[in-house]
Amino acid sequence: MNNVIKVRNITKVYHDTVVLESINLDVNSGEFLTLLGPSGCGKTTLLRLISGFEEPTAGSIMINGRDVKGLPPHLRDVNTVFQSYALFPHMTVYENIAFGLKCKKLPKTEIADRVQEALAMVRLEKLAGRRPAQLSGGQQQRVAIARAVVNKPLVLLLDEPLSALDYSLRKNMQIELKSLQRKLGITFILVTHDQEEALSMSDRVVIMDEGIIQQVGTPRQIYESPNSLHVAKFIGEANIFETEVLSVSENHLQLRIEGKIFTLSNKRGAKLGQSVYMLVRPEDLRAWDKSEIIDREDKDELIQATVEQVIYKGSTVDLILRTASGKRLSATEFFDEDDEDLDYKINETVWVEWMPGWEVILPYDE
Amino acid sequence: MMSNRLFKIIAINIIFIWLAVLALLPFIMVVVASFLQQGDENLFNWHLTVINYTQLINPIFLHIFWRSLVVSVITTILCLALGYPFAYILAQLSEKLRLACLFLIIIPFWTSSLIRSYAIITILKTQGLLNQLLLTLHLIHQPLHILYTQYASQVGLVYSLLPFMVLPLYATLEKFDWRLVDAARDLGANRLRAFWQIVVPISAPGIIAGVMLVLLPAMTLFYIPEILGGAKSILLGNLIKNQFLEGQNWPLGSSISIVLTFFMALLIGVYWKFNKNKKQVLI
Repeated sequence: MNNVIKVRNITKVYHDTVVLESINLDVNSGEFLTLLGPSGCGKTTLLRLISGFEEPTAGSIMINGRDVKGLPPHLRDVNTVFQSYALFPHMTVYENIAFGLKCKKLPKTEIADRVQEALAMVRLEKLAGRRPAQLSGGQQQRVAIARAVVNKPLVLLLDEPLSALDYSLRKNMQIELKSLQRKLGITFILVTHDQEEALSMSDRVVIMDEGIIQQVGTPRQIYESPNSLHVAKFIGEANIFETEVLSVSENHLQLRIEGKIFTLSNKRGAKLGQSVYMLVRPEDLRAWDKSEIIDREDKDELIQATVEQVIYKGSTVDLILRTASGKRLSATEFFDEDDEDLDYKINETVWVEWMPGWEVILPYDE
Repeated sequence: MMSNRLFKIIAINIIFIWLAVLALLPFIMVVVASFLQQGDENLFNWHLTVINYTQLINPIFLHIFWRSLVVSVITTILCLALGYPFAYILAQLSEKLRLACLFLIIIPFWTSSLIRSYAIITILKTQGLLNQLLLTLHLIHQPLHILYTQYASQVGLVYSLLPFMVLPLYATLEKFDWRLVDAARDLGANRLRAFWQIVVPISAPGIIAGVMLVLLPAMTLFYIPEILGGAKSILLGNLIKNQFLEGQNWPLGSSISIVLTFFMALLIGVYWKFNKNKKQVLI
């Protein structure tokens, strides 16, 4: 596969603080890659190293097969959509978008054609003569995107581009950005701390924390098979049980969870006696009430819990449960044909289960 | 409630009275004086006349006017050329260093500018600090005669007026969003282009304010050409001062002042119009 960007052993140190440590990353041509992590994890620094605003302390970056060491930002074939948009306030929308093309000294007619094309792409033809201050947040966002993509960069870098927008606008812009990326075929590298945004838009997600890459994978891999407790906690919610491996057979292992023995598949090769975490996502937990469970023979094998809180959310009902040992669980129940009646009462006893195989078993790593 | 309203009325009226007594009234007196005749015994003869204005259409006066304008423009350009880089760097320093540098600009304000002008003499005179330094460095073989030339007067003007250029520029550049420069660089502009096309246009209000604050006073700072220029180069300020203090021709001094005021008002008017047009584009 063609790697448009290759990051090799990048380390960045600011005033004795290591911001990035031995980062290796290959970005495929045409993919939508997201750098996801809490603030201060180094994701923006990595973006600025690629765009050329910072130079790495050690390591190298290749853009389209060329080592860009020492190459200033204006000579790199990447463009950035900045967090605050950074539109030029003294220029019109048209002039903002034309700026990059004028820097390249393209002929006037070509500039006009390409700016018109970019304006049409973000549906701002009618606002070409306005100044940024006269535009709404969403419109400014579109200008910022048009101003960058009009240059047809190899890679478009987006630094938390949607963080200033309100919720519904952000949702719409996510869809627009994604379809724009498909249409243009440009490689997008998005920086965000919003996990939902990362999961919904990306082809691949890079989870970063404290200057290192924790996991790289498709949104589904990241969500369903996190490789560390940290990643699991960062992406979505998880019920975490600490326990140890009671027995191991060829493909299975046994764990004691809340006093019950569970036989589960051993995907990661856990060893006998090893301390492990078992994770179950709230939406994978099923909570049955007495009438639903009464006929089942295996009901003693399920974990019992009492309902502490019921949060009705329209399409789902979120439950906060407490087991006999005092462990707090959260479960998200969906309205579907299996479970049309989601009428839970506070202090009611429920029986909890999950589909075997949907759990994640991780070794103690911290 | 009542006392609050009363306080407002009194406070606003005090400002009005202050302006009326100390600004408007003297100005009206100058306007009236400019239309009176010079008196032999009293300061004025109460005969209305326009002779003080027609008199000004005289090659000698026009020449002084023109020279003053040239000196002011040169002063302004030099202040801008020195002040802009200074304010630019200042705006990017850490807060601590920035305050220290601002302090250095403001301290001289606490000393009389007259005394500071005399201090420049000790630097520029034939045996002064500048010549000694240049001689020691073997850059020159004979002392330069700068003092009591128009160059010395120019140095004094630039020195005295530089803070008036730096402060408004600093105020604009301090608020400047440097991410815009990043954006320009990202889009393919080199540093120079980013500076000319992004930083300069956006800091234009500061540049204009600084130019106004330097250009206008530069025409009337009479004591600097007098002390440093050796009274050889008469500027508009000296001309006015001479009419009042030496020539005892108050009406003529008044009319020159009025013409100068009119010229300044014109500049401010142009500035206003420029600003208004810009705002209209924005709306």
